[in-house]
Amino acid sequence: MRVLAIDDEQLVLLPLQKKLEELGYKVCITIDAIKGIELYDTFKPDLIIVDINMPKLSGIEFIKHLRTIKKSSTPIMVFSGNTSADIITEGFKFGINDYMIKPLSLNEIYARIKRLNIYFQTY
Amino acid sequence: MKILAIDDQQLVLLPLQKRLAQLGYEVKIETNSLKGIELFNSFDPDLVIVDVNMPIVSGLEIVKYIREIKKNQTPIMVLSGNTNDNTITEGFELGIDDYMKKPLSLNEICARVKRLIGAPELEDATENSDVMIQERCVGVVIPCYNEEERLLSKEFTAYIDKNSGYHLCFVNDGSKDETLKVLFALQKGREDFITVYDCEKNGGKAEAVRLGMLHMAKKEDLDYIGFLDADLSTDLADFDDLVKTIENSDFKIVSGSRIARMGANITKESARKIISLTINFIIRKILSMDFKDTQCGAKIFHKDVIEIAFNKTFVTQWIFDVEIFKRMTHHFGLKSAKAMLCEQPLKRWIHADGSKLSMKDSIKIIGQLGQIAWVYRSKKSKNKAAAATELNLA
Repeated sequence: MRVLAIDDEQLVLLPLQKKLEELGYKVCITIDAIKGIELYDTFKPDLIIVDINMPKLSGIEFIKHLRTIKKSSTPIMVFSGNTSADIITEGFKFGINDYMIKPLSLNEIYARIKRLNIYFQTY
Repeated sequence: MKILAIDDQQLVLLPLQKRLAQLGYEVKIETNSLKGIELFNSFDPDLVIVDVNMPIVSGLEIVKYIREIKKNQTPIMVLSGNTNDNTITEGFELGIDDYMKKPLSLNEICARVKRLIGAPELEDATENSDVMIQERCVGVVIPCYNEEERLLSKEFTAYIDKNSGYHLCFVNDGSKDETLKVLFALQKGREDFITVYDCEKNGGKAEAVRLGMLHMAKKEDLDYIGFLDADLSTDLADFDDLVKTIENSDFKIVSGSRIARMGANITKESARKIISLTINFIIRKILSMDFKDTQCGAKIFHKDVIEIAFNKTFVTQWIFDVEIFKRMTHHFGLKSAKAMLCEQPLKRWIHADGSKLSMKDSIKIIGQLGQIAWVYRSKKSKNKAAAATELNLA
């Protein structure tokens, strides 16, 4: 399974990448959401984990782009410290599959990814 | 679409039920987890929302029952303040579909529900709600004496409409005006969130607070109970800061403190300032505690200590706060009591016009302090005498 993780802070991405790779996932990380769009085309991820507050292109704009322009249905999990109810509901409106609020443990992220996999295999 | 929500705190369930029903879901709520299981079987919901930490049967045991015994795949969302990593991962391993951590907004819950089971088609979709579902439930006692003219009803109702997890208890302290009528008008339509406790005779603020606190302690879903002045010298938003402190610490009492400083709006009359300093000096000596301000009318208590602090009538009327701290010391010992008390500076305290405590009254307080010192000292020596008698008998 291929996971694309986008966050403007590399210190967030590195342990996530390490953990997911240990679990057998193929992981690609980037600190630039615009580059993330390119990686979506080239890396062809099965799951995207994306932050919200990022310079250049925000997570919401990234999601909007993927869902409306690319017509992508790839599962998207948001991973953000932004707890604004408006942002969270907007994310779900654009079809994200989960919104994880930082701080949270790598174990919880993994449990949520596993749950999402089961969901997609079942439905 | 049918939703079953199980949580031992009704103050959490009511706004959730209201909001989901507005969106067109058929919602049943239950505070008893065993009855929740019965309802799951009879109601046959399309979604179960369940809390984790509940007495008798925990939320995860309900999940286990649904997934392992009933072999049922109905979507389950956990709604809990428990952020323990093991609990969350155990939940997902048992097959929950989402784990929502309190506090979170009703909007977010609804967005997650919609993602999981879709939404009923409604012709007139209602507006968004900015209500937050809190982790804790708090009771607030507000003593009222002749407040007909100045009670800030709108401030109170606006706050509880927006902030879930609060239950206000207005104690009418034998008012001579129409306060009781105003309070019932305030309560109308919000009976689940507002209680009016009527004392026919005026027994003073101390007794009104005491009766209100004991009355609220009977409500099982409250985690913390506090009291607040009716004039909102400290408003409910500031009171919420005290709540945040007590819920994130091991303190049993968090007491607001009116310490004037940069960045805070604390206004007191200058005459009060001088008297306050004198009174405070005596209080410190009596309590053997380095309190800056014992008399602020905003305090929050863990439910465990309500009985200790309020079970007996107070000796004094205006400085019952000092008696509360004395009772804590008597019960737990000075060292333990000190570790349980937290004095938290308030961001705002406005001395409202028409407050009943005059400068002359303040001087009387000094006499009452002497009374406390005497009564509680004699209690201590009485206890010592009783203990000595017991030892002699043994």
